[in-house]
Amino acid sequence: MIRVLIFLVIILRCFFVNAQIVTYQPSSNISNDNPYIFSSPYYKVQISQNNEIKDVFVYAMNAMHITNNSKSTSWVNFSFEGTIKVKVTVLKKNVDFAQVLPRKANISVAIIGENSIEFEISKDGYYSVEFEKGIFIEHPLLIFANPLEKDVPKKNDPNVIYFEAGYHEIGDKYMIPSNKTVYLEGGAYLKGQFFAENAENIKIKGRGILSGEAYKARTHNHMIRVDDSENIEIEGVTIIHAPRYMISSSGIKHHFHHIKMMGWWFSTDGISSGENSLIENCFFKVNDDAVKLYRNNMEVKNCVIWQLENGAAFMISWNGSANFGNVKVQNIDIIRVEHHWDNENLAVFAAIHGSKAHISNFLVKDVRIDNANWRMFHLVTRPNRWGKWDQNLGSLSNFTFKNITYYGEQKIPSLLMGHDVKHPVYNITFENITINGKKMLIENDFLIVDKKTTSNIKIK
Amino acid sequence: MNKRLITLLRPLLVLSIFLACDTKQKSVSELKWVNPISNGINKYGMKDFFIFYEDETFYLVGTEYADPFKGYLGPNLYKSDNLSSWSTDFKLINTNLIPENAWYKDGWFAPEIVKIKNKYYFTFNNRNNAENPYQKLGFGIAVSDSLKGEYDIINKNAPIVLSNHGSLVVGENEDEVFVVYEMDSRFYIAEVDLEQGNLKSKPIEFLGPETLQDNFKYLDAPQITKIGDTYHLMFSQFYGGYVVKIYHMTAKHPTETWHWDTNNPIYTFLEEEADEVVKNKYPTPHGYAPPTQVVFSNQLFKGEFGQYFIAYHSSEKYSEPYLCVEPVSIENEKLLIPTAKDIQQKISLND
Repeated sequence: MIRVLIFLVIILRCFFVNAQIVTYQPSSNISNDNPYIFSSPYYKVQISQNNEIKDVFVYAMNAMHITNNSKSTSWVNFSFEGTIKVKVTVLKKNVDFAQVLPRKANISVAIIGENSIEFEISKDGYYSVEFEKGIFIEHPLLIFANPLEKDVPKKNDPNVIYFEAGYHEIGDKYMIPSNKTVYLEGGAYLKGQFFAENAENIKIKGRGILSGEAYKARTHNHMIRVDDSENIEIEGVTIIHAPRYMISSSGIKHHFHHIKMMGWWFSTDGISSGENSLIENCFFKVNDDAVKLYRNNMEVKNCVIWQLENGAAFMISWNGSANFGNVKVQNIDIIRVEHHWDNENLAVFAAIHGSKAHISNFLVKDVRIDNANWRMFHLVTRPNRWGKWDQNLGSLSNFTFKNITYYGEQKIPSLLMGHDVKHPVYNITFENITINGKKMLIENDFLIVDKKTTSNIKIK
Repeated sequence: MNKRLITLLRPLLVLSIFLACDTKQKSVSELKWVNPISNGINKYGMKDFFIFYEDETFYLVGTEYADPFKGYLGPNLYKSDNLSSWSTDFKLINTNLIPENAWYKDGWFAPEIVKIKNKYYFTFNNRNNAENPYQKLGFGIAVSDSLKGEYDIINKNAPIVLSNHGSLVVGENEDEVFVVYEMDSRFYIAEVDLEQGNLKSKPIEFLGPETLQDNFKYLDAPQITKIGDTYHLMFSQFYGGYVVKIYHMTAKHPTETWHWDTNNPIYTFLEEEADEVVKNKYPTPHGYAPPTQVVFSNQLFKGEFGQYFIAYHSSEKYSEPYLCVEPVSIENEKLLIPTAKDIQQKISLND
């Protein structure tokens, strides 16, 4: 009897252990003949847990835009629980340097032989494995270590639109009705775009990929567009090759989490959401604003951002016309900011506010900027060609930035400036801002502040 | 004998006919060029072109991009007799002599040259980047007895007005001079005292959302040219999706009502038409900075054979902008560009 029990425990334990890593097979369209997505020629990745080793398919795509600094991006996508060991083999060069970001994860890397490294991950998240120093990485490798899926919908549920593993062409405007769950099974690869309007109770979830690879920049809609809708949840999917935003939604009560987004063109913004929205545990590697903080009662937390050469990690306004605020941003890792042009939208936190809204009550705290050479803040009111300038109205006020950690050199300083006294920037507090470990004590340490159009700027 | 003579003279006859044809060809005056024109102008890019035609020579100024290795090298006066190739020996302002704290230390945006009462006025839009970084630009005027300068700044103490694309316009006679400029997406006009370097009248808005109604988006780069008894205004507006439209309006006096040209927009520029090949090497990879907001300046000017042209810059969206020139026709106060955006351009005039 005891032997039987021991046997059952061993069997159950094996089953349990095996269930802690879930990998996904690539769909049939992913091949070396496909210029948009193929097997990475740069990296091989294995993950192991309790001495069981799994090869993980390494996706790759080439840069699409002439101004992109990277030439490609490779990534792996799996779900897990517990602690895993990751082994990366570099296929085209020897390894003399390696690091894993975010810095906050504090991951130790062991170099093994001439071209491999190993490290452990014990928490789901998004990791950049880097073999080059500096702001620009030629061939990035990303580890998308997802949590195990919960509440996987049933295929035969009439309220579920189920995309099995494999290749699917869904068209430019796949309409999602109210009360439907769209499920992208791990290994599913959908080419096309989703759309919903005046809807409620929609979910899009899974571990599959949604691609806009056929569309050139700004020739098509956002990858997922949800207009005037309530109670929307998008979870777990990977979105690539967007011609515009990854996700654009309006309405109320939107929840976006565990979404991985990678785009190359200008205008491939990350998420613009509705009011009372929560964006959490997402990854952005985009070439326009990663997160648009354009609505009331937004919260953004626990995200990882790799900001390409264009756009702000957090864009507050170009053209906000209705007053908004009560926005929270916290616990964010910005692993890389590739800005190097003196354009007004290039900052980690940017507002080029050119319309009549009074924008106020923002709390931004615990943000770590691991690699940057450009400004942190560009908060100005100024007419711009996307806004509708009001000669009397429009302001930025009551912003608190707390515990912002920056590694790098602000080659151009941050800027706080109103267009004129009718469009002021005021009540802005910077608390515990550090650059390379040094706390900023006065404005001149890191900021240009226009005295005529700003007031009550505090550095603590 | 006659046949032999004819045989002997036949080549001479053919040659005579050929020469006659050649002479006939020479009787057609023709000017050809290829847009965009970069030969001889600032190789790192120029925009907001302004061409001044005098003594059968084209003279050109414009917003000049800084040399990424040497810094700003202007403001220069370029000249050409064929539009295709340009040269410069004339720096209009000795920038080394400008005091460090002068309000006009940096910029030289949208410069122009206007001849009034046998003097030449060089106008510009500047600021001091060390003392007022990212602040609004101010309008300045410099004067010289010679087109080629050097020019002396008239308003050394303060800008005449805070402005974008400030531009001088001569009124009914040369005693009446106005500055036209854009600020906050609207166009303003005010009379200028050229001797004192200040305003003689309060600026008034002459185009904006109230006057243009549905045609208003965000007004950019006003440029006014007088032809006969009519003033012609060129300007552009930028639309989402990176579309730029060029507009034309007319008035009998710059301070009176402006009339919409029913041919508007005169032409439209789309992002996919932009050149994506950067022409120079920069200190850093991808060192050319694509502007977030594209502004197209268009100048209407009179040139060779009495022909009118527009001067504008090629797309700055992904590569350095250079000069584009196109002939225009104006009939009944409507402006038409027969070869808008064509690469190959020419004008000809039969003798």
